[in-house]
Amino acid sequence: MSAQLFFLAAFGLAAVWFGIVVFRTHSMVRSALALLFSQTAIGAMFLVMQAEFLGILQIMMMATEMSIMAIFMVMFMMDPGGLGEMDMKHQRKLSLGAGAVAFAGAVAVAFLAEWGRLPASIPGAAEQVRLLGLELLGRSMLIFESAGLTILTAMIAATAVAVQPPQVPDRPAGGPGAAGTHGHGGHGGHGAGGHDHSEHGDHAGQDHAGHDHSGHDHGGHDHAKHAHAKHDHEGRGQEKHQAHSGHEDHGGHEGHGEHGHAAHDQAGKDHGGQAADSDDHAGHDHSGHDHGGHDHDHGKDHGKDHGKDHRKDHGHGAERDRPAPAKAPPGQHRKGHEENGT
Amino acid sequence: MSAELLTVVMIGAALFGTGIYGALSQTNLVMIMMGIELILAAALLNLVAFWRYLHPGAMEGQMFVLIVMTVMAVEMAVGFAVAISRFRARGSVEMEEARELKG
Repeated sequence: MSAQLFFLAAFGLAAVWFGIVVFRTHSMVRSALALLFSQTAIGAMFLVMQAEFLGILQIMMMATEMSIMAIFMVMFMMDPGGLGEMDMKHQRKLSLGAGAVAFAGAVAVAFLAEWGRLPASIPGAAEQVRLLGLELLGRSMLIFESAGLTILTAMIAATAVAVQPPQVPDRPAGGPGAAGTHGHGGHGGHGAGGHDHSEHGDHAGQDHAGHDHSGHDHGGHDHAKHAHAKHDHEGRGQEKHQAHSGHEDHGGHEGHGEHGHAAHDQAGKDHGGQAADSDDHAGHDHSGHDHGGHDHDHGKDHGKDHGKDHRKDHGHGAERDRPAPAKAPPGQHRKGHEENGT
Repeated sequence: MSAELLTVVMIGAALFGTGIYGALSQTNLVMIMMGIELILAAALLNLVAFWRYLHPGAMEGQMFVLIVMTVMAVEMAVGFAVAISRFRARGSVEMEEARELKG
């Protein structure tokens, strides 16, 4: 067995194993890292196959790409740490069958095809790069330029899609999942939120979020009253702008529920008509989410309700310039809820 | 046929199957994108193997690899843009909740 074959097999098995780990682990950050390792192993296979330029390109590109992916994972996932062991799969049989068929088909082609005679030698690394450069700026120039233009177009299109404010019309209040205490809590809180807006012009959606859920909390919050009262007192003793670091300040408190209450208390203070800075916004935000987490059963409907309430509040608010951050950490609040629930 | 070529093509097949499984089985948009990344990585692997073991003199093979890398980057950019947009509008990127996208 040649050294090349050995390294190809070793890196290849690593690539396949990490590719499987991507879909086996519950932690989404681990998924992104496993994909990074898989792609890096593929880059190493390129190096073994003496395609040095492409190998380095692959490793560098995938390192950045997967880092971004990991960040997006944490942003978007319900449960980025995988603590809740949520099942994030569907149509399992169909997927397994399709994957097996794809694998079997590709293997069959590999064995049945006439690959022909192997070449005697390949150009060295420097010669390869020179030839590739000549190819890029010679016969394949149109393709190369098209690829560049495609990336540019995709970047512009992606920015446009991501920046545009959502133009989604409000769904009717009686829609599936919209009914229930959560939705009503949102409306109750909204009046105060709107008032606050008129006093402090620079408040965006976060304030709404805080109001929204605080109003809701008094209606439906049951199972952590003691913790709530306790942190109420401590929270008042704090400076407002420490809301963001409230977790450290309330050092003795264990679990997410307590954090949520502490932050919520300060949110209540801001209610009182004082000017709020950005840290307070963050405090609002957390409080809103954590309370939502307390009061409801977790699951996808819960997430939907959140989204709806937020959107509604933004729609009512005078300003729509910062709609997104209010919903930034739903993954955290869901996770917090699951810990509370257990 | 060389053992190296066969090894690489088999590994490409395994990655392709894994990617198909992931893209079909996951409910989260970002996880689906990961499956597609694996599929494209398998294609990359096969392209490089074909260039190396069958036509090392033809630089169009490496050119093709660059194009597929472009496709990967475009897929990431557009996918994340869709994810951001959907997350803003609906508060989640769970594709189980995206029934209204069904034609």
